[in-house]
Amino acid sequence: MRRPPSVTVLFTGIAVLLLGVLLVLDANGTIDLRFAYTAPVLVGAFGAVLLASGLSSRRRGRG
Amino acid sequence: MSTPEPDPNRRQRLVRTRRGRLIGGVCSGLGAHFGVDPILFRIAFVGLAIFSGIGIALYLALLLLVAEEGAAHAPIYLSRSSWRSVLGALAIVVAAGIVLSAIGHGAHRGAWGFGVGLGSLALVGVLAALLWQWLRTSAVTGTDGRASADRRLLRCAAFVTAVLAWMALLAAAGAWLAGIDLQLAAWAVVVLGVLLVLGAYAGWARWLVLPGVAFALAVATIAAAHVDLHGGTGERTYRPHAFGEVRGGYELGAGRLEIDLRNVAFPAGTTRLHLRLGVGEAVVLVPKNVCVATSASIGGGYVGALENRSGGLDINWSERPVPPLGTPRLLVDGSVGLGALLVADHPVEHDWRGWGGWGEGGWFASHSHRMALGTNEACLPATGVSR
Repeated sequence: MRRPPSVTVLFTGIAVLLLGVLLVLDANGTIDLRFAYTAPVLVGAFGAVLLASGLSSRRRGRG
Repeated sequence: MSTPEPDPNRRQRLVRTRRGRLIGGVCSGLGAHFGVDPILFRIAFVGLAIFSGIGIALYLALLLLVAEEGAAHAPIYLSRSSWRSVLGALAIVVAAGIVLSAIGHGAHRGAWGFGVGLGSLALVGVLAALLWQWLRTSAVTGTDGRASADRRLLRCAAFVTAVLAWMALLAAAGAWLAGIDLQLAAWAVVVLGVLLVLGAYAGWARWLVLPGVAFALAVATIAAAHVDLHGGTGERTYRPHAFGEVRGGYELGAGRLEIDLRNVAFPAGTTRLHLRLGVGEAVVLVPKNVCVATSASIGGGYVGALENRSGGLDINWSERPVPPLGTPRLLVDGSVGLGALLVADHPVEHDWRGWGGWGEGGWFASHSHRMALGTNEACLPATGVSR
């Protein structure tokens, strides 16, 4: 039986991928990244990864 | 045959106790050994850690050199003859540290100082990884046959130190790449994200999480601060003596940029001076008979222009005083990614050790707010500042 993907790694990957897209847009000049917008995005992404990881652990009976 | 009675006056061997410990049992062991309340030792260690930092070193030394209660040996167990070799090696390490520190202090603003810092970080990472590997494979156990708690604690500390050191190195690599070529660094972050998503399904990407996050966060920080590391590194001082020698713009990637204009006779009217610095400190020294206007964009750090100053993140500073008729006006237009821009009428040096406070004006400004930069006395009074 195929193992389910690691939710923590998956969500971290999605968060890093989205951050990378924002950085590419910033490098192209499409958007202007500043700390005022970047900090909440990073903290929110970190929270989403932790939340997903915690919920996934509870579902597997480890929480 | 009867066993001899223990001598009540004989002091017991110093051990780190298992009962009453908060971290490694050092203070509770010292308390039990000397027959005093361990809280006294705790206060002493915390006090020494806060005021000189030596408390941490002393605690770690005792953690490594004093055996835990019930354990056969201390985490670092040496025979009597081995101590001489260890002391010799320590003396060499201390001497090397002093030399490296002197070199680093002399060139702390330049690429060489940066290289020494990264080299030290890599060395710490390698040593911590070796220590972790040695503790994992060597078989010193306590009387109960298991690795003692302090050994496990030390192994854990070595592992965390190695991981943190290598994450810091990766973050430095990400920051450098983003400062040189943000486009390439951004695409590297995208590739890392894709690898993590694919690896989550394939089951091999768990090890990539921390390095990937460290790299991505460093690139994001450099992008948000608009750091541009082109223009070289080091310490640059420009001291023009005539107006014709003043350039329209000055730039530096990382380090200290000082432009001393105090010997220049500025003509009436407005003279513009552009300067760009990626990371570090930019200082413009101005003559007292010139009315100075300052416009600055700082990603994160501090700006101080004669009487006015501000610190924090995303600073957009504009101070446009008006000169009396016939008085020359100098417009300093500065862009600093991470660091400080100082406009002063006498030589100044930002004290970087003062950073980290929560003083008026932002994170970084607590010390700098006490720094006298001079007065803008050539301007008319009642002029505005916007930040």
